[in-house]
Amino acid sequence: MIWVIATATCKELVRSRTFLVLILIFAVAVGLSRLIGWISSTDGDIVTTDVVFSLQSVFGVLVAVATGTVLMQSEIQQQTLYTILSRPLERWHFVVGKYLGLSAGLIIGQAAMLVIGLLYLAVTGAAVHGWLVLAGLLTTVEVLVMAAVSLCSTMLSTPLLAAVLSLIIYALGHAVHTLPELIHHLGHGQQLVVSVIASLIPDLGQFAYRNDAVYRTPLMPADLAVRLAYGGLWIALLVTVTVAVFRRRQL
Amino acid sequence: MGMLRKAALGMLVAILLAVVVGWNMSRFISSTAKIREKDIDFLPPPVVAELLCLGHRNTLAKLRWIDSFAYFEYQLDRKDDNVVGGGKAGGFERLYDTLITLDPHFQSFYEHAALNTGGLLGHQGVALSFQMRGISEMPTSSQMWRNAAAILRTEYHWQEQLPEAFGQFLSTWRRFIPEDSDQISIWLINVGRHFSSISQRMSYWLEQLHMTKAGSPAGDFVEGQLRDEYAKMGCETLQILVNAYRIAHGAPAPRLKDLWLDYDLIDPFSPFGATIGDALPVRLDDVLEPRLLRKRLTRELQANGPIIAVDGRLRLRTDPFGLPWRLVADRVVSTGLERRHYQAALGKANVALLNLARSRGSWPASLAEARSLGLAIPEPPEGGSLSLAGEALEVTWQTQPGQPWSLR
Repeated sequence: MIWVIATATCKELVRSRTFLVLILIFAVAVGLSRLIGWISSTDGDIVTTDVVFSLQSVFGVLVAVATGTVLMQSEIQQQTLYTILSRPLERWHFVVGKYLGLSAGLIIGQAAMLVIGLLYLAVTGAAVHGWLVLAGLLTTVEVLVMAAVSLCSTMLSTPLLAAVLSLIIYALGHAVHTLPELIHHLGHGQQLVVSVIASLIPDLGQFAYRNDAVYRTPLMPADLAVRLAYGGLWIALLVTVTVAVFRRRQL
Repeated sequence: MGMLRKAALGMLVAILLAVVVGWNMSRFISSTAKIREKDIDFLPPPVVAELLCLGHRNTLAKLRWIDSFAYFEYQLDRKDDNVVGGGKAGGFERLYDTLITLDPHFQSFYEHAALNTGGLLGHQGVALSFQMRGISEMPTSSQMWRNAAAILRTEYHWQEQLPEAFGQFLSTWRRFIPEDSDQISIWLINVGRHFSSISQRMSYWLEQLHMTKAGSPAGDFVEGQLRDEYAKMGCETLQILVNAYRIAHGAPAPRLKDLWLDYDLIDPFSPFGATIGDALPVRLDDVLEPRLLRKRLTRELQANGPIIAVDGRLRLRTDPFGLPWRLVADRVVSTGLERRHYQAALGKANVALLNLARSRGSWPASLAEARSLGLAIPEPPEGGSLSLAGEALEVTWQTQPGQPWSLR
């Protein structure tokens, strides 16, 4: 049953107008990224590559938040949820199925963005290499974590608030990566409070390998495994929280 | 009725669209090229900047950098890099410290940091520190080593004053990039041969020219600096000929030193006092007298000098800015260089004008009023007329420049 829900969700996602329009806007933005390369008055290829990979992350997260936050809500509003849950189906099956379907759709979207980005770079003469593909993979993990964040926050609030909350967590998730260097400016008590709060937010900086990949800085397999495991753990936690909240929710 | 409303609505949308698009388009059609300049108003420390980048360190560093080109333009006139809260470090130093922390592998950051702090502001120590930081980050980049070597050689004269230290520097370079070994020696010979006697600065600017892109603010600045150097060198070359001409025509040399300097320019087959023409040349072309040039140009012409060979004959070309050389009271003047100096002075006057307007709360209505308010406005050189165009002093020139020398 999980598989059926996941397949249906994935199909629904990749056919949705939001998804397709955001991919289209991504493609246009990638096309325009060369402008920044031109006005940079120096190595335009590197500048363009940076912009393309930043766009992949930003648009990927936008797709994840835009679709992830309306996913459950639309099922409730259209009352299809009741039809599904009236069947012999555990609620956690439904949540996991939804998340897997969402993830599959997002992976397709990320793959499309990566291909568009790399093709564009290759056509415009910029260097394309394997490290960029790895950067794209880690950005995909970042997007999947954000999809789990948006799914979880939808359970806790309205879609609009969930979208805002997800974007705030995206910003904080990258900010906390640098926080250990700044925290020494605080007093001991403050350090403890800030550390605890920051630890409750996923460190999205783990997936920002794109900044190094542009310069072909290698990523050790062990390091890659740690980052993937970190992302997997956060996804597992957030989906579990979503399941827990959904089980208690009065529908 | 419904159809009519629909058509009217469609018409209204089309009209409004045409108006707003036309309005927007007019801004592009009527626009003129304008140098964008602005002060640095946001300079977070590196660690804070990293926090604010939200995982897009490289991209935001480059966007910030592109935006800072306007600060570069701003500093061309002001040369005052002090920024609020900057402590001893200037704006460029803080800016590039942040940019390099965000994106330490981007070579252009080090090159531009050195150009802005050293080339523009003359803070060679800061420039060298950026180059050395670049070498420590990218020890296999030949360009980094070359730039650092150019600063050490031309600004700190290490080759002459600290030969041992300079030798160690070069051997470290060779150790990191063995394939550069042969090139290093050739490069050093070239730097010494062509430029040491005339302009040490020229080798520095030639190095900078390699790092910048034509048409960019930094590229234009470096080209301007290089043209200045070529113009000075051209004036020097032509002045020697002017002096030699005068000596050859029997007029007394202004100083004994000049006579000694120009001795080898005098054609032994043309005795002093020989009648070539008037006692003093009236046109610069007159000094291209073959007998005077023969000994000086026995083997070759200067690669970037004021005299060129056209159809087998020597000709005087324009100055590096595409403007004529002039002879004013027996002195050779580069019109382009003269204008550049005036534009720099005018830039300072414009900064003073802005400060004056801010303190008074209004702009002076005319040049006379500005002068009466104590604003020091330099008089333009020959062929220039000055005006107060709204909020800025502007000079227009009677003679428009031709094609400037190609430097790239």
